[in-house]
Amino acid sequence: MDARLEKYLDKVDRYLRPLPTSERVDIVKEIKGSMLEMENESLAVEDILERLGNPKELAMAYLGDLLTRKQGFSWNRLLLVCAFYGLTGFSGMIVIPVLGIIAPTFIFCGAVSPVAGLVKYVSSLFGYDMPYVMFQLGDFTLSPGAGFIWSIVVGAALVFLGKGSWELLLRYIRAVSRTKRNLSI
Amino acid sequence: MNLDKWKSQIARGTLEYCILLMLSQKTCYGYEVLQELGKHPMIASTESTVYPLLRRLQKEGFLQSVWRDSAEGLPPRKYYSLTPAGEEYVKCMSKEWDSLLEAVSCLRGE
Repeated sequence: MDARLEKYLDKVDRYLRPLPTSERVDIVKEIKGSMLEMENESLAVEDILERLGNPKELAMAYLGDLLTRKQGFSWNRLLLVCAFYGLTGFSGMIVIPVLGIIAPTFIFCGAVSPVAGLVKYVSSLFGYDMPYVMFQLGDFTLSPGAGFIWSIVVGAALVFLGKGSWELLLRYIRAVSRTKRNLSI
Repeated sequence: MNLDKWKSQIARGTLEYCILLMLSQKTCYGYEVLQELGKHPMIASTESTVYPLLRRLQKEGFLQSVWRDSAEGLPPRKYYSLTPAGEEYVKCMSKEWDSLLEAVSCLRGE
């Protein structure tokens, strides 16, 4: 298909943004079908575009009902929008940086922990007591062998936590953008 | 003269009825509807009027649609047909149309 026609469809799709994705896809598919039928009748691209008219007007014809339904100013809507931005503004200030730092740090530590355990264990096999790496809880110190196993358990737990926080972060961002899309003045 | 404006107003007012009549004869895809309308200069229309209208009629429950693949080299087509509610709607419209024609012919002194 001609690049100009693709571009036209892109524009229509963009103007249809207030509609749900499934509906948009359906509309664009139908218009594209019309273009291909016309191409089959060997109409020139210019003629096809002229017949379809301005992409914005075409999209607006679909949105017509929607716009008139949503027109008019309402205090409730304004309050809702203020509440939304207030809430996401404040929660985002804490949630995004905290999770954004926690997630990679946990994953990194989770990966390093078994490596350190392994290094300690292997060096102890050669009769060398590696400084810097130790497994200590108060007065209690684990032997290098038990420490190695423990380091794997801790590492796995940390990676799990890190991944969990990353997933949470993504969910938070998605939820915010979804809500924002449904909420326009 | 304002004849063109008047003509387009009539076309706009009757387009819905015309499309429903066409679909009550047979199932059509969107582009086919356009072509059929194009045979009559008075109601010839483009995508930007007909497609949104078809969509609205479907939303209101007068039409149903289904996507079907067509022969190779042709795009998939969305076929529209009347629902029972749509058929009822056309019947009522036809009745109104008859009374309009009656009124016009009466005013013409026929």
